[in-house]
Amino acid sequence: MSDLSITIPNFGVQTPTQKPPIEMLREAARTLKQQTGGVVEGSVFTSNPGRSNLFRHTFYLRARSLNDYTYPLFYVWHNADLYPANLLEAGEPQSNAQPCKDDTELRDKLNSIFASHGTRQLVEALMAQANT
Amino acid sequence: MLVSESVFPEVALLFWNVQKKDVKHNVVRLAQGHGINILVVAEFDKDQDDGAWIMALNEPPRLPGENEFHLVSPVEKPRVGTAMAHVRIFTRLPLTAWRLCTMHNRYAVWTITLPNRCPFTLAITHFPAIQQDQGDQQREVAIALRQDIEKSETNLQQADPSDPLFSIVIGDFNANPFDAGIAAVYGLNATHLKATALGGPRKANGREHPYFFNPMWRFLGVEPWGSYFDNALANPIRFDWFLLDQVLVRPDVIRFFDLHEEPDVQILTSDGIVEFDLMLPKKQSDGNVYSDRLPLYFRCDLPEKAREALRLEQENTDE
Repeated sequence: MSDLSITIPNFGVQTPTQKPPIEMLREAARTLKQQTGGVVEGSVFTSNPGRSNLFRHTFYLRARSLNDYTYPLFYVWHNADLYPANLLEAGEPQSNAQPCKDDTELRDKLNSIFASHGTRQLVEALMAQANT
Repeated sequence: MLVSESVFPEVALLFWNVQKKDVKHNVVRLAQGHGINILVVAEFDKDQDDGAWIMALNEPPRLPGENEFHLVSPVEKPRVGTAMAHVRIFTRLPLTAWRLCTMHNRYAVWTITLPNRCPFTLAITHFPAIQQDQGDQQREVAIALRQDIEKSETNLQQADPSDPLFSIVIGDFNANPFDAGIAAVYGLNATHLKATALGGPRKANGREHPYFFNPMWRFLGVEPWGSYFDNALANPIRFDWFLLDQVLVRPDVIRFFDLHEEPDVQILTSDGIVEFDLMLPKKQSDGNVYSDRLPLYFRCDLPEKAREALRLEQENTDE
């Protein structure tokens, strides 16, 4: 028998140069929960349609005390390279998707969504209902 | 499977009796998470808007190769007020592929013909409620359903005898896998053993009766123990959990799905964000936010027309 063997590189030691979109969304979810006293949470739902190399994340506002109400706030999707990632606010046509070339650009655009009047209205409405 | 829009290598089904609840956001997550291309909703509330469900199911982003969901609208409408009038079918498959064979108050039988694939029979059921009757009504409907499925199968076999007998029955049977309507030879004749199903038709009273294979038996005795919880049913035998939502397949379908590593048959207890409250003992007695049923997922590959013809030719040569 020959002594041919397969060499598997050490995958685990590389630190990603950019923060993966899903990590950024999870951070946003944790921060939202803190900022609302736990009344409104963020939940990230990730699907990998058709076993492809595409990843689709939906960021939901979630109010457990309102029968676990969930409402999509925005979508992020990308391929296995992570960036560019596409960002689309819920309710907008897909043609309004914003490509983000790196994590900095994605973070800035996410900040804009969370700071927007529409998001504030939604979160405040959920908090008001949850507190009644 | 995310592929070119005109290629459909698999069918991925989700059946959920939603008990008139507005669970479209949950269904969207289930559909995205499991790559569903046929979604069947029973007990769809007449006050809900089909269009709102379609919009939710087609929420962006639509990814390359992903078809939109459409509502399947049968040529023959179900009678108003019947169980089938409250069933909605949403699909990513082309609507032109769907042909209605039978519309019964309690089930519908379709044939679906996709490019380069063998046509198949799909039956969708919503049998009489278990609270009203626990045997006779379900059995009677099962007998009629079996006859209508056989008619559809005969038509397909006459069109092309080289096609496998590829039939799938999914829905709310309001009967357990061991009840007569499902398991008896004059009912749907659904066995829990693959080997039995694959061993040829059952002979009874001088006649041959083709089997269905019922993969649902694997859920008996393991969490979540069933698809419906009811500890107040008037019945001398107390089950608490019932396996009323099932999928049955003809033996020819068996080689096209897998029950092992990532099973192609699942009772779903979560949509990826929320756990369905049927799993919580308090909700089982106090009423549910989502539904009193758990959704059922089934996926199988679809046989390629050319390959099956070649296979049959090879089998005939070997004989």
